[in-house]
Amino acid sequence: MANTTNIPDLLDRLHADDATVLSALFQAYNHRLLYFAKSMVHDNAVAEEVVADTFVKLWQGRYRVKREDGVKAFLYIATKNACLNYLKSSHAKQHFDYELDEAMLTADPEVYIKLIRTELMQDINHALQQLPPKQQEVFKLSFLEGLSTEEICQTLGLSPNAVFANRSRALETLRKLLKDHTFFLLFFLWHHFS
Amino acid sequence: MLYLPIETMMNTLKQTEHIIALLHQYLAGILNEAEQEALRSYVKDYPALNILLEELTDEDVLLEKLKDFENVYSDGKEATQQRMLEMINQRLQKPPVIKSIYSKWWPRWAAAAMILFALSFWGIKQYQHDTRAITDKRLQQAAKIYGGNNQAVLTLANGQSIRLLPDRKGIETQGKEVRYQDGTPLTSSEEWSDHYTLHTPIGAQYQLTLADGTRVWLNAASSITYPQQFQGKERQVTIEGEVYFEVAKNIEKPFIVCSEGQEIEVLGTSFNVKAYTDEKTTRTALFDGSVKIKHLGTNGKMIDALLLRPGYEAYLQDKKLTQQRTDLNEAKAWRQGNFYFADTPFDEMIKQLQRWYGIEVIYRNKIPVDTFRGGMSRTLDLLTVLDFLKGSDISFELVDKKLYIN
Repeated sequence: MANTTNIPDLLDRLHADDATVLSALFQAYNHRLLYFAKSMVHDNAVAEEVVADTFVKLWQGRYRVKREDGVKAFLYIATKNACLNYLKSSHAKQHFDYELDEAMLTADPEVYIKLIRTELMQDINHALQQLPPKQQEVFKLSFLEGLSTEEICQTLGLSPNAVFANRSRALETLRKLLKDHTFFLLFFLWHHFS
Repeated sequence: MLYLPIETMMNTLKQTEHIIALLHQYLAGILNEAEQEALRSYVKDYPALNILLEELTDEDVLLEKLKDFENVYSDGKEATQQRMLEMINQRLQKPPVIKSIYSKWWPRWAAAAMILFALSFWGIKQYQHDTRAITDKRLQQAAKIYGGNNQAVLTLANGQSIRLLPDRKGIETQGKEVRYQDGTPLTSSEEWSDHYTLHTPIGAQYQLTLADGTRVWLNAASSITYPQQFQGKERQVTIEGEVYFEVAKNIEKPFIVCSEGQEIEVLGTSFNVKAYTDEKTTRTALFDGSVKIKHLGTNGKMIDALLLRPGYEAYLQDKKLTQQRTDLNEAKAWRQGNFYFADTPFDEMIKQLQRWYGIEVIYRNKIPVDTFRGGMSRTLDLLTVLDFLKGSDISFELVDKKLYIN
């Protein structure tokens, strides 16, 4: 699944102070963490600040992470705590990053749902990114931007036939990619097209 | 706030993954009895899951959420990620360890690097000729800026400073006298001092021969404090900036180079130390023999040490001492009158230019995270050098010795 990010020797590299692993982690997690933070604080600048800080905290606290999946938990918990601290008018308690228990993630059901949503979106988005660039563009413009075929032709400089071809190829590729796990996306795409 | 015993918390992420898998299957309408029951019990634990379920079954809402996810970067993906990386690097207080993740930059820079490499050193004249027409306009506007015009200064123990003649290349200690390497006297025996500081300003380099015959090269904006004669059991000097040593062999009397947080101990060998206080890393590159590098705490006590091997470079950064194989051309180039970049980060490269051309640097945006490879002569004027470094993503503007980077 897309949310199990595969970074070779992740823990070893973290513990050996190999800073390049931070770069890999940033690539793997910045998008979803930013979405997660934004869903809590509803402010671009604050969310960016929080997420940047999360990676700094991970680096500073890298020896405290003992398990590979603990890295992901750490990132979510640190982001969550920073957001809650920012919103602390409604939460009297300050949340500290040493409370790195995974239970921190489920403790607040509302936040937990945001996390699940984030991971779901990450899954779908990841599947989309496996598509060739042209198909990706066509998919994004038609489904996410809601452009008409004609508008897509203009935007991408493609003929209507090429747009149709790319759209159906996008679907076909997505189906192949998603066959193993993300059944529902397949389902909704079928639905949308029929 | 809900607190659970540790054992039950261990698998929260596993649980999250399980819920997500169930949601996928729910939406695809392929949940079996047991799975339906599992999802129902999750909904009981987390009633808010109902909101999510509703959301996911409404296609328009789902597309809307996907759009939000897609558009999470406020200034576009590149600019926003760049800004965050900048924040991270800044807060980690170290040179950019995180390289740009935009692969499309790489081919451009690879091309730029190849051009740099191909035109390095001997090829430079041809290039200069070819680009003269292009750069002429700007050259007329801005006077050419060259490095290498400044004078080194020798300071005596009593604080008296002597400006050294730039055309003499170097000085040496001969008995109690200091003189130019061509034999011209500099101080008479009445003026002798028990120690000296030789300092090079921006844009200058200078040579020095110590009382024991050790030869020293100072790069720009560097200094060395050394005694008239080496007394006692050790030969000790203190440096700042970039200095190359060819240490005269004397097994009885180890030669010690002190810089901020570091001590290098050698018997006889040649090595290059780069210990600028405005850079985060102290680098020591070894050409032959072996040297011992010690990392010292603020109290002067040794924290860590390593034996450096020839062809390797020691890095002291963030109080950590490491060594790795290196391209010795980089440590050697400046003495041969060249710039040489071996995957050098942008800001480090700019610092070299600052120290040589005496320019002020103003970043209009963030510091680019690119690295550079290649070399060129330090006798070139600044604009010519900048022409090499210009890329499609970076542009330079030079106004009155102020370099603006866009």
